[in-house]
Amino acid sequence: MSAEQKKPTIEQKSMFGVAIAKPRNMWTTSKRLIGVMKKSNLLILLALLSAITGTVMQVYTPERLGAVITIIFDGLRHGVGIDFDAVLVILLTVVAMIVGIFIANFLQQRLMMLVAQKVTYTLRNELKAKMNKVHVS
Amino acid sequence: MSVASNDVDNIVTNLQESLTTLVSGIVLLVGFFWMMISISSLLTGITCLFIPCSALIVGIISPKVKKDTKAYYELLGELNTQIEETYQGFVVVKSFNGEDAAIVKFDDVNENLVKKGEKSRFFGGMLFPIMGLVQKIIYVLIVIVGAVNVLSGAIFIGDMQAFLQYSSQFSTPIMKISKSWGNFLAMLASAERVFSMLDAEEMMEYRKEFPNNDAETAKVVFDHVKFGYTDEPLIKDFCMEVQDGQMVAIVGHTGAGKTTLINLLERFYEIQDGGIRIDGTDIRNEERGTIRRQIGMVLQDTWLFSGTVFNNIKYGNENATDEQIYAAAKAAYADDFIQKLPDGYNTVLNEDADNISQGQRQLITIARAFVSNPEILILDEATSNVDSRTEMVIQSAIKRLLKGRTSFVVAHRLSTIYDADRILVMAKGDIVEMGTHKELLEQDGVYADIYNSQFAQNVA
Repeated sequence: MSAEQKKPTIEQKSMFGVAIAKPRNMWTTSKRLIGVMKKSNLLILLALLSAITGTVMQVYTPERLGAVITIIFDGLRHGVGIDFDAVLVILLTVVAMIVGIFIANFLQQRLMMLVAQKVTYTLRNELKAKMNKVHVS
Repeated sequence: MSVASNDVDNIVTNLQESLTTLVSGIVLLVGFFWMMISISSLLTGITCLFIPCSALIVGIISPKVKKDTKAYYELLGELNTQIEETYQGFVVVKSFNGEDAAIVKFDDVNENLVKKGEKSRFFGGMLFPIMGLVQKIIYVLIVIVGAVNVLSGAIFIGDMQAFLQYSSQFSTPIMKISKSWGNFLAMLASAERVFSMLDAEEMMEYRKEFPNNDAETAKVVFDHVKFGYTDEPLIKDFCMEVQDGQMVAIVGHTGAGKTTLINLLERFYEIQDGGIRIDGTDIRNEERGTIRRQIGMVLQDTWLFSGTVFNNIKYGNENATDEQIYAAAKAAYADDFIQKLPDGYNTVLNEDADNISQGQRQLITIARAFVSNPEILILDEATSNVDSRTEMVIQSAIKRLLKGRTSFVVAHRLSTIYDADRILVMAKGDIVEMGTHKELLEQDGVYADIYNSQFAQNVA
């Protein structure tokens, strides 16, 4: 606790006066935190993967919807009628992607929660073990 | 303690959110950008105009806002202090007829505050609408340029539609990233505190054995002890032998090292050189718990837990039987008043234990020491802040408690220690004088000085 008093965490006021706590040694701390998380490496990787797939799908949806509009528009403009099969296929993929986004988000939240709980569990235990070893002060 | 609960909690929530949000935000940003470029690089260029434009606006407005906001908060602080002062000093203000002056001062600060507040809020409030305006203008530009492109056949209508969606959502990932970046930093700061806590200096666990001296007959031996809370040694070279059953009184001015000595004996702090031995065993060779089981303490501030009187006494020894506890209370002369309490032994002491008197609290702590039945007893200023009749009761309780035990008594009041086997007079971490009450008075040194200062009235 004395170390904490010696160098208080730098608090910076952001643009609108909201205090943001800034770590002093970002990289060393990150490294150490990653070290703590090492045990749940696989889970983190999975969570990140699902996050990325979800996002990629999220990026693609508007493009696919745009494609539908193009098909309808072209069909009308050239008077050949709308290619409903193609529209159906695209719409189904969009639906699939929306469901996919949902699943990916859910998975990611779930996995990260597991990781976070594990990390804090270890940290708490370490802290508790530490408490018994430091001076009474 | 806040490190343990708050910071660790902080890590959970933020770790859960920020890491994935950060990653998905970046992917989203890159993805949007890539899709936009693949549709039309010209339109993307127009969209990106927003960045320098907004940077310019923020650059112009935010310094002003910052300055005014800072002044605003300063004034607010001033106002609060003023209100608090006037409110707390209410009686003084009233009795010196200071109301008018206080009101004038308040009005002054208040008015300033309103002005500054208006100014800072005005500019601060302007920022978002202006940004919105720029955003909309750019949107219109995109639509115009896009429409021309669609008509000329360079872009499909559907792609155009998609592009508009992308560009309007473009700010979402940026906001997300900046927000979760803040969270991320906060989390790292928390983690850092936790780690620095984990790295804090540990109490030394000695690997090596310290020389015991089994031949020693003394109960407690201080052997050339050196100690200081910092590198500067407070106690330089302290030697003392205490025989079994002896009562040692420690006297000295505040800061002379009395409490330090006790802390060392209990091993709350580690000595830097020399050794302390109990029954010939160096205390550093034993577990801390073992040492503390041998030693009982009655401390300066009588600490009672919220709970029943019974449980408070029992705290001295969890294995004590009910009979032992009643016996201890009787021995400590506490039985009498406990019986008179509304619920007897089951009276619940509240948090500050202010439903019983100071002296009664001390009696309970003495009873607690009886229950734990230690070989060595430490009394730290146990008899202060009480009326003289209660003090007499406490004195006799203590005398009974001390019987047959090796004890260290730290006291300012010399009356406690007339009959101590040995009185140590400490100054600046060293023993200046040692002897019985009588001997010390005859020496006419520091002890005699303290004695005379306390009983000056009697002499005069």
